[in-house]
Amino acid sequence: MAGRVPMMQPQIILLKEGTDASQGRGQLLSNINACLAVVDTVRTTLGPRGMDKLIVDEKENGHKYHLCVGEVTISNDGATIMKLLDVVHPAAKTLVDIARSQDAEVGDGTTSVVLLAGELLKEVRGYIEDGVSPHIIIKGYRNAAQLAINKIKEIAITIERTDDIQFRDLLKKCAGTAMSSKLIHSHEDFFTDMVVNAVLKLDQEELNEKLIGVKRIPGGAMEDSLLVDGVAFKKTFSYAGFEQQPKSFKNPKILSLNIELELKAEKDNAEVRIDDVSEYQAIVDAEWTIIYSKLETIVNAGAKVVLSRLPIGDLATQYFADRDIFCAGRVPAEDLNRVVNAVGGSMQTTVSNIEDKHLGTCEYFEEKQIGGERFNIFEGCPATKTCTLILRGGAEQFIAEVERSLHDAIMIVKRCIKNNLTVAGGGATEMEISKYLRDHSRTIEGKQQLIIGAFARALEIIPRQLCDNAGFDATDMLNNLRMKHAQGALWYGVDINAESITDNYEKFVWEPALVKTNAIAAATEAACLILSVDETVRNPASEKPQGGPPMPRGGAQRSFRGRGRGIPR
Amino acid sequence: MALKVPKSSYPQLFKEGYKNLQGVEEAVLKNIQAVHELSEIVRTSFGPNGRNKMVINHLEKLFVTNDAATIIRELEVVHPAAKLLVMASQQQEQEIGDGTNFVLIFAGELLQKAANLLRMGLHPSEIVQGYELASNKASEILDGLSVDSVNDCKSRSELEKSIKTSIASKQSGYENLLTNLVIDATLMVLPKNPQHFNVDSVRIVKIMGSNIYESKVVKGMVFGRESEGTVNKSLKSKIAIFTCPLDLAQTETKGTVLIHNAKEMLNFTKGEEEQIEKIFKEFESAGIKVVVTGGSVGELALHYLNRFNIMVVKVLSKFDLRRLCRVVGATALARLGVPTAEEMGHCDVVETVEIGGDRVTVFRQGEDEKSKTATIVIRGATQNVLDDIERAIDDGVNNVKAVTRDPRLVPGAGATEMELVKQLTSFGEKTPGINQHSIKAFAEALEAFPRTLSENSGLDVTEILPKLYSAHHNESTSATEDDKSGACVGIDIENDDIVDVTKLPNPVLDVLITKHWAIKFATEAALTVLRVDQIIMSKPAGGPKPPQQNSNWDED
Repeated sequence: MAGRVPMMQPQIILLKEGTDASQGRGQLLSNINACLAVVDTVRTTLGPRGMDKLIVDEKENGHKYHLCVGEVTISNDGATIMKLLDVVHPAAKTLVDIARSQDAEVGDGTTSVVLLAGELLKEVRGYIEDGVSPHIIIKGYRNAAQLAINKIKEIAITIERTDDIQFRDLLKKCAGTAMSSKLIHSHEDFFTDMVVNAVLKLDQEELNEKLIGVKRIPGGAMEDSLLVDGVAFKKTFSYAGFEQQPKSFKNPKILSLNIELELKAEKDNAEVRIDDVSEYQAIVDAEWTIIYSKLETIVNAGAKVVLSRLPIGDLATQYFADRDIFCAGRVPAEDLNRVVNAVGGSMQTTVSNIEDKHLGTCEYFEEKQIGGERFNIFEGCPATKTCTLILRGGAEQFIAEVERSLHDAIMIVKRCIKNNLTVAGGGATEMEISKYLRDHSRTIEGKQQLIIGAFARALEIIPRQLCDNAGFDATDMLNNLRMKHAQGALWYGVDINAESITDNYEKFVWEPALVKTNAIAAATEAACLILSVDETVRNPASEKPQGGPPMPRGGAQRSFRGRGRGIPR
Repeated sequence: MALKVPKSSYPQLFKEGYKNLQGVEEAVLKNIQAVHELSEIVRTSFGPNGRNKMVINHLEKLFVTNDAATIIRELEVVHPAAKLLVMASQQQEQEIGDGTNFVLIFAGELLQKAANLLRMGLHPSEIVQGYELASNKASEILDGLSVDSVNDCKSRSELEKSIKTSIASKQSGYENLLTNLVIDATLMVLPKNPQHFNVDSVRIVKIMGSNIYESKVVKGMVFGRESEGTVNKSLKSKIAIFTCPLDLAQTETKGTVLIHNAKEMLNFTKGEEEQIEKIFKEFESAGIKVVVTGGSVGELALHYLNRFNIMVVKVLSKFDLRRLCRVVGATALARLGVPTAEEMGHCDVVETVEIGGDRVTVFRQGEDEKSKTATIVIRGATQNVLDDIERAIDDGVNNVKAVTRDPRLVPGAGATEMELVKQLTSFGEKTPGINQHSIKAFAEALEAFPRTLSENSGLDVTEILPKLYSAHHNESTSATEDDKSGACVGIDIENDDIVDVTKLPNPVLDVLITKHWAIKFATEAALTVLRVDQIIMSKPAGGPKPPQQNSNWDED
């Protein structure tokens, strides 16, 4: 091998071995194709007649050879599906990103955004093949997106929040539209009411949706789900003596703690040294005194319900039971936070000098049986800035999907409150924007005309896919829609129930305008990003990113390398 | 492993496994070829119509960018000569922060031309000499080409001139928006003497979601986390900043508390609580409303802070903490205790707000107060877009820094390069001797820029270049010294034609100092490569083939 040194020199190794580079138009087209493949997987989930996906997530946790079936997820939510798909293609990853961004920003419309990005790419694939510079396309798309967003803002209808009942109605309609495509569609009325109530319970300034707790209890029917005006959490692990505690109170004082109520060492590194046996008993007594004094202060503070993030031991449990006090230890931190938010007061990390203002209260506290679980429920809280949805249903996956759907609806309602511009759903807005852009494209000269036209065509994917998923003749429907929009009917969209077209605004298929503007912006951005790439360079993956002990996988690779030892290049 | 290297003159000199390459054929031309390959990679990314590259680095992180500095940093170039170029471009990045692609393309082109000369029979040292002459002359000419300058760093329109071109070349289409963001941020932090402008004072926070039009500038700092306690808004507050955890001091040495009798035990915790309460009580009486820490926050401490209505913010990065100190004018303390009045900072608004789905904490100074830091919050749908916009903004901010050092501007869009080509060629023709060839080659190398620009924009190079040449030759020869109209003719990529770039509604102007250093660094790198006549590569430690991989393995 060494003898060949001079001869093997002509080859110039510029980049590290194993680097893989591809370039040019072919590369761009292959990126587009990869994206389209991803889009195809979520395509069928769009709309009220969209189908769900079942995804089995085989966790790679080193136990590959164990018999382990991964976690099963059934979902209709674009963001969830994209996240679970575990896309590795660098260009297609962008689509996952935009779905997540839409989820974070708006919470709904995640499938639409992916679909739209894919369609934008598909529409220009032909132009790229014909040699149009991607830059011209990018410029055209950015222009078109800006025009589209401005147009949406222009045609959107503002709902004034003057009349509370009317406003509530609006929220319900928006939530209903978001839900129409999900599993819970059949119980739309029930759930929209629930969602709108839940969001209206929040602090209207801050609208932190994290303060809406969602609890899942398998069993029962969907209609058994309920909204608790306050906080509810599952009964925590309890010690002996718990049974004797009263389980319901009217107007109790509630104390939330962050300390352990148990006999234990005060400090880990404290050591007791005694010279005298008599001292020993005194130390034991002292320990008891410490815990009893703590308990006493709590009782003296007047608390009737004691909650703690940390364990409440059996000694404390019995002590409280004797004094008709309810206690629950190991309450999950987020639940406890919500309790504090709801009942008022504040979390205490020490029991010394607890004042009245640190205690919260609620109208009614109760431990209740729901399905197979017991729940602690706080109702009628004075400072209610939080509420809890208790979801019931047949299977775990089913409830999980209901939870995701409700999350989407909650986010939509939240956006609606913050930003009260609404448009009609069911493809109506897309058709109108498409028409507007098409008309606009005719007024400009040059290649931009084609590009903006392509953007307009791409927007039609939304109503078309709605029809396809519902099993309608998309071509027919679209022609009808185009005609209606050309005649000036602003809000005509697909009517899934009647298998025809209708004025969706009249039908109350409403959506916040933000869903549409953000979807168009994000999809355009992703499409432009993919179009702007002309070369991919993939460096060989580093073998030990964390520098841990060599993994078996690495070992396998090294032995593979060994084989290549003698081969001259 | 017998070493039967025919060419190697000293097989006995080295250990087995050494690579020894020498002579023009083997070393110089091969080096040139490698360098050329590298510059070919980044060439398509030059200019406003440059294409992006998708680079996946060894940690599987994806970069989508047309910023040459980022591309080559992630490429992991191994060829020694090509590495020289990479270093030259990194120097440019450090010196100016922009124009990295210029360095790579130019050095590549210089060497390519040198290869032709070598084939003609010139000796490398002669080329080196000629290139040096030409480079000096080029700097001289460049000084005379300045058409405009940023006279007042505090004026929007003046600043705009200097940064728009640079941003447009990274994020074409968003240049107006981003330029305004950069200017807004810069003006907020620009010190009285612009020379002291620190690029670090413009921070960037990327939050996914929404779109780029929602990006905004915040006067002050933004941190991507919530406040720790229950207080999440504080107005006109005094701020104390600590680098230590907010908790009772822990001993470093392993200590054990010895308890001798029951009484001590009873008082143990009480003492601890009282101590912490005392500290924060003092905070409250000192009027401190916000506490920032670089460490953790003890539960007990948090309890009392909540009780005294003091907002707690955790800032984990040491650098960020230092910046925050500058913003609010506080001194970071290493020990828990009430700061003196001088050590305390002040901030008009500290609040936790929601941007997109993320909750962030904002330290904002009031309208009329001068802040030491401004933060640009960029929004975008994908991480890659955000990263790329960040890089464009960085370049813009660096350009501001560059003009504070040297306010002169030269026409962009290939105009300056074209003029350099013209003047260098005529200079070369006046030079006697063999240097003439290399000076002319240097001039020709500069032609690469208008060529690349038009190539990337999909224009017909053979049509545009002659047009440019004639424009530069005709008008400037007829015009007087002051009238440089011909010298400012560059490529108009919007209209596929040539145009006087200074007369456009948005004049395309580059910062002179960027070009100055870029030419210098590129020439230096090219000369270094040319001067090499022998490459000796030691045997990679540890044995022949597989261990070589192993060494990479360790480096990672």
